[in-house]
Amino acid sequence: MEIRGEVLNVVLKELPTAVELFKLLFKKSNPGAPPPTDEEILLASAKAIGEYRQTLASSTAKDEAWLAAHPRTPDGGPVGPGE
Amino acid sequence: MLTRRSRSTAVAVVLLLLSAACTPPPPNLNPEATVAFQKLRVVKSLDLIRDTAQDANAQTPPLVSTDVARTITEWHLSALKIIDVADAGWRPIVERSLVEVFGKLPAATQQLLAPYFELAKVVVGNMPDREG
Repeated sequence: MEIRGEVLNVVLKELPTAVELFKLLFKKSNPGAPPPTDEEILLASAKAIGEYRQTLASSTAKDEAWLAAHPRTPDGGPVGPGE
Repeated sequence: MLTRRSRSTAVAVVLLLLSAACTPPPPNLNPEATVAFQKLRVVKSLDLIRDTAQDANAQTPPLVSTDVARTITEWHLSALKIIDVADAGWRPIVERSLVEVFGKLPAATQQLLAPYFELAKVVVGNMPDREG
């Protein structure tokens, strides 16, 4: 039950990304759309790079925090829930 | 273990993300941003594996042992560093690492995480052969 809830959380988290991508696909198929201006490219690019950097940093931090919270014991055995 | 409905839900999520992962980058990005956009997709697909493993470990009783969750988390951390630091050639390294770490997992964990590993392999495989 808990895993299904987590999967639904993932769906809810990723839905905005999927919606944005579908919007972009629709724009691409619209022949009347003008090409992006330099300013649009600059802004969109900065946003994309920023989002990547932020995601990378937070994901790395999450890994490090989890590993710090679940250290190996001196005898090599695991420590943590269920062990 | 996962019920059939939970497994079906996981597959549906993977298919949804797969459809998003296969679309080309937006046309309004410069080359550096295009690379960032593609790497972001890869990072998110790897995050799914890590998150699922850690969440499974946090269940009562845990569906994934702490040892296994640690293996996956350490692999994930290394993969992120490779993706970020390597100018080129990170794709085959990450592809290989996906196969290697999956092979180290117990059968039950493999069954649990297989859809997410498959998604990550497809996402990484769709990346261009060279940077950009």
